[in-house]
Amino acid sequence: MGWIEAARSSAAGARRWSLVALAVIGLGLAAAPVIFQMFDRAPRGAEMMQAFTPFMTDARLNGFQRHIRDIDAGVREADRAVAASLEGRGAAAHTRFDRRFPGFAQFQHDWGPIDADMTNLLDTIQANAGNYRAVAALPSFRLFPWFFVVPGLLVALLALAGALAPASWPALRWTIVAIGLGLVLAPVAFQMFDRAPKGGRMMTAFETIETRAKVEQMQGYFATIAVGQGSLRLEIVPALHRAGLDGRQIAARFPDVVTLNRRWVPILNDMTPMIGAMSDNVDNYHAIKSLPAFPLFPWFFVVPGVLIGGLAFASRPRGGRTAPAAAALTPSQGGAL
Amino acid sequence: MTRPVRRTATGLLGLALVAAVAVAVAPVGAAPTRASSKTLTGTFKLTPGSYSHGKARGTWFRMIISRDRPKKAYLPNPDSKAADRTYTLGRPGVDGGLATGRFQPHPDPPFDGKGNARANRIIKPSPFTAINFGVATLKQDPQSKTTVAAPSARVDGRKLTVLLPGYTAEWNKQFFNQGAPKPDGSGSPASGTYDAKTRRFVLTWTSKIAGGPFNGYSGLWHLQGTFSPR
Repeated sequence: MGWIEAARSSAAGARRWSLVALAVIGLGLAAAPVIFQMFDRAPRGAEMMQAFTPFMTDARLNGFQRHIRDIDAGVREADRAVAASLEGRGAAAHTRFDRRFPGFAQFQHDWGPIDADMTNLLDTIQANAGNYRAVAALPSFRLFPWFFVVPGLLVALLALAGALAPASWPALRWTIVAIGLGLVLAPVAFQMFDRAPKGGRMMTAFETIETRAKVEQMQGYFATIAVGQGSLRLEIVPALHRAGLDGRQIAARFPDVVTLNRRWVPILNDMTPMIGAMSDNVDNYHAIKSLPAFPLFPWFFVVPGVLIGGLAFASRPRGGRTAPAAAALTPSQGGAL
Repeated sequence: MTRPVRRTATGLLGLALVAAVAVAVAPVGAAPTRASSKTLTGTFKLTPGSYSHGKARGTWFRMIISRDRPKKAYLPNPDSKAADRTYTLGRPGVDGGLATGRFQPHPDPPFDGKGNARANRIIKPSPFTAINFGVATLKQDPQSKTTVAAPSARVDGRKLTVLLPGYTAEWNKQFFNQGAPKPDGSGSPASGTYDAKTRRFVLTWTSKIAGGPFNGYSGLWHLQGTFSPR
């Protein structure tokens, strides 16, 4: 009889500790979003993802690359063929061209590094479009804190209920096991093991893009390009007209210049909102960057899920499968043993 | 004895509540009043902008791109008619200029398919790097979604002060609040001079652009003309 009492007492003690552990893990899970400031940072992530959505399609990204190619072709043609047509060939003639159109000359001078930098930037963004789409396919960032708070609080409350009303524990226990299982399965269901590392790669790739300095540099590029294109459109092409060429002749001889001028408004329509989105989301990017690394996120579900499910499963009630067996042992039998 | 005390306390609480509500709902940019100052309600009719001998006159706009650096730099507008293309010259719109006591909103839709602004009441839309920009005074700031007061003006002696938190530049399907003060109350009102006899005025202000492709830049506005009371 003594060992049965001891066994019962020991089982009750172990269950008590399991309930305490479950409550602690549940509360920890619920508190995690507060500790990591997810209620502030996660919605900013959602905001950033939403702001980038229009720009992260293949069509739009290819369009940006085309804009850069169009500008490059227009600049080269104006600097060579148009300059030769207006001022003649040779270094001295080109110097005259530069002096006559200083806005364009400055643009042409600056364009090489701008072209290289913007092409590199667009290549980086394009290379991460798939990563972006993987993150975008996850549930909204706004929901993420609740994925921790709701199960965490539920587990803590159920553990508390189990402690206060031991008779309800057999039913509560399976509910907690189910919550634990849900936490383990959630990353699988949301393909987080695949998508979260992609998100991590995107965040790393955007580290050099989503900075205030980079945005300001892009704004500077815009000013340079706008002034240069303005010179091309409002000074150089009119100079060609004055030199006796009509619109058809200009289009035939300098197609890249004409294309750039024709496409300038669509380029502006496309590029300035992108610079705006980049600028508006610098703080949002840094808010998400301050969260734990993306690839860790699936484990934030799996580890507590396994702990919660395992503890609840192991914490068998007194009247459970083992208990009846123990109860079946009469005191005399127990004594005989 | 307790009843009057309780009544007084309830009354004070009610009064405090009413005061708190009044403060909370007061629109941003309500004009401060002074006994010696006079409200100007009407339209600040604009003189078209011009540029000669290295000086801009009338109505013009510049975009400061040097941020907080002491040496000012401005974004040139290739489409400017001024010799110094950092000045974009303005021409009066269909209302003749900037109205106080009411809003001058943009039409619906505010832009054409190419992103040209259609707002034409205050100034005529004019090209800024190939796309027309316009200005409007809006009840709700499209950027912050804050509701603001209609423009208001006061003159104290020759000192003119205008509050226009809803002043908005519109370009390329984007809105840029250029309020003075800003819709959140930051920044200074527009200020200038007013001659009560001739009703001639000069009004200037600087407003930082928050958000969008020109984030951190500032608009420098210079309006000049003759006030026409309502």
